[in-house]
Amino acid sequence: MSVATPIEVEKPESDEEVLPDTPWVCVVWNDPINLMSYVTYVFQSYFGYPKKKAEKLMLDVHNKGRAAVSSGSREEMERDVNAMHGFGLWATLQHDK
Amino acid sequence: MNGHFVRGSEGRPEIVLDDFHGQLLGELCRGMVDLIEPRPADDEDKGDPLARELGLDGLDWSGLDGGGDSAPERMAVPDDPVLARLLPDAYRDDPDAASEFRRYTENDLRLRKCDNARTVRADIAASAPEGHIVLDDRRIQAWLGALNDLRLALGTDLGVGEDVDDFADNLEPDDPRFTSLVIYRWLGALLESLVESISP
Repeated sequence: MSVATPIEVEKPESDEEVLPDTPWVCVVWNDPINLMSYVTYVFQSYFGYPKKKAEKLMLDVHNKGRAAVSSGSREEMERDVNAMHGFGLWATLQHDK
Repeated sequence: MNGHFVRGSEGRPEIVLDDFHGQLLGELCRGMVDLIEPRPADDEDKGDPLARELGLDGLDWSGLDGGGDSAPERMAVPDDPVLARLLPDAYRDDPDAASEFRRYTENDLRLRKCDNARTVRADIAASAPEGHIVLDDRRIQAWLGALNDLRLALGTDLGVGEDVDDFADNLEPDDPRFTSLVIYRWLGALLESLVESISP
């Protein structure tokens, strides 16, 4: 075991997700009603994802039945789920085991 | 822009709704408010009827019994499938957490959905007689939410699947659900045009 020395870490400038230590995820589930274009719009506008990423997540939801669309602390994921419900998307949060 | 949204000259979505469609959408929104508006009466049904009759139900007993040892009633997902779809559980496999989440968020979620429907209704009323409606950013969000909620409600009630054409083909011409299906598809086209008009 090592003792952590505080160092300054610069945030990487890529759009790759950096998973925090607290692995909770917001999962969006497929339903037959929501429009694909609308779901893509929600992922773009709420999460600020680029169109390509938003479309990929939408297709994951559509084809695989579900997709984890964001991750973070439990509080953050409760906020995201609440927002998704506001948009009318079917979302839940769970511990990402 | 007759009957569907287009991106207007200032980059804002605009639409002209004729009388019939404006009234129809306004009525649907009124129905949504009726369905989802939080009702104080719901709370009055709970609790002890005798205590209510004696006027004791509003009192805080925690000082007498040494603290609230009675667990609050669990808030389950609504029985009505339409309400259940509009107000889903946030946890799939944890009823306690789902209930807790619902206790703190459901009322606000209902109010937000009501606000959206009321905004759409007010915009339609204000646009008479021309029916020309231009949406600013706040209204865009309200219209998106309201149109989608109406589709969720109608679609859940109808029990549509992914393939709406298939669903329609299996209905008899005199099936009472036919009208709802026509409205459902119209709302879909309306929402699609709105999303398109705001997409870069």
